[in-house]
Amino acid sequence: MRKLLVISFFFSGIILGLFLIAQFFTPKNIVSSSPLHEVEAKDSLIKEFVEEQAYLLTRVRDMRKKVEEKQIEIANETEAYNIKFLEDLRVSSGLKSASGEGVEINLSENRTRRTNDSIDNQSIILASDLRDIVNVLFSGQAEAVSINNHRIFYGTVISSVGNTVLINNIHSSAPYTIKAIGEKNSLISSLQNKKLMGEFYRRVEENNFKFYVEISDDVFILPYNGTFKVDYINLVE
Amino acid sequence: MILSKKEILLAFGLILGFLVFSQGKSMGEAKENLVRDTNTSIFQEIKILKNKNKELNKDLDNLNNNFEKLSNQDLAIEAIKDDINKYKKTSGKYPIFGPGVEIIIESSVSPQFMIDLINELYNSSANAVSINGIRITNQRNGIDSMPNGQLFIDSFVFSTPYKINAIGDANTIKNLILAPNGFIQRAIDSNQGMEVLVQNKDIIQMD
Repeated sequence: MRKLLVISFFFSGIILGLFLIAQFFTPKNIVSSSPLHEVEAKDSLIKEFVEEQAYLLTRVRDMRKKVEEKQIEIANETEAYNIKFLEDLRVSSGLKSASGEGVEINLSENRTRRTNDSIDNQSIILASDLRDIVNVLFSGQAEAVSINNHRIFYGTVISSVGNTVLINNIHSSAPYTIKAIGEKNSLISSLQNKKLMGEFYRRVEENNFKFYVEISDDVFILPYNGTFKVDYINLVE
Repeated sequence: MILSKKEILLAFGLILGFLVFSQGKSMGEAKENLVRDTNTSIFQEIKILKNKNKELNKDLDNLNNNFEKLSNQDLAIEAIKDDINKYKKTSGKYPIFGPGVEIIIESSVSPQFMIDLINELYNSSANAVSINGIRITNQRNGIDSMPNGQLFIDSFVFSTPYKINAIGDANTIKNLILAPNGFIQRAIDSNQGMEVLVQNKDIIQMD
């Protein structure tokens, strides 16, 4: 019996050792755990870049509007090209504001967090959550979608960075307001798609995210005001 | 109170079982999150923001140049034609072609996997992306799945093998998606048996 006990303890020890090694090598699920000075420097730099971004985006939007007005002026004077054709292309590219019936979603975390908090990334809203919402809205035939006033177009990149999310490489963080223009019932029905949204709703419940959907007859979405990458694209003539 | 040997062994077994279960669960959760969202370092975050601001400054310069051309009678029509050509490429209504990469996936995948892959391709500077010949544009609906696991967009149903084409700089795209712990590596790690082939293509056409 004593021998059996020794063998049992020996194997228990091996299993415990393996467990400790596995625990040690498990990827850390922490989004941010920086030393204080690093965090302060980061916050300061990020604040600077975010402010510059907001300024540049406003200037790009204003300049694009000026270019558009000038083009209309030339079209009216010369009739050298069809302004309606150019306007249609702008609409298709998401460069015109959109309005109409749709939904407005408010998504927020159930906590106040600072950028220097060490957070388990289970408990924060992730880029993948936003990508899933955008996808179901387009599946529900949304004509236009925006997150925190950033217009989503086919090439929009939504990625997690540190404790925040970048939308087209523009800094964004919770709370998120997601707007979609389209037939209301179709959008609501799509948001209830458990195949596509099951994982998201599980995370909402587990992490007490606040997720509200409001139906509206008057949703307004700003035009896309970022850049398009077309350097490698050629038109088939 | 003195515990018998059987009780000690039972207690050990219970503790070990609990530890092994917890470990398995936490590893599974970590893996799942790492696949969909990577933890970018603060320095990368700053680098991304800095590059984006450079990009916006460049865009502003282009718009200023465009405005100047529009103010010049001789250059105005040419400037408008350039804009029309650019928006023809982004509108998704005209056939396009260009170099890039082709990704072939033999295994069945979820809509979420495809959403993440498309996101990663655009993140790696792809100009345009298509799945089995269907270009992703502003006019397309989202990606959904059929009960038998096939994917569909609008009225198009896709089955394996999935051919995802991306027009853009092939090296930049491949460097990012094939990087250690990059999208493809993480996808293969979390989907046992997944076969992914990434190859350069001189010409990819999307209608």
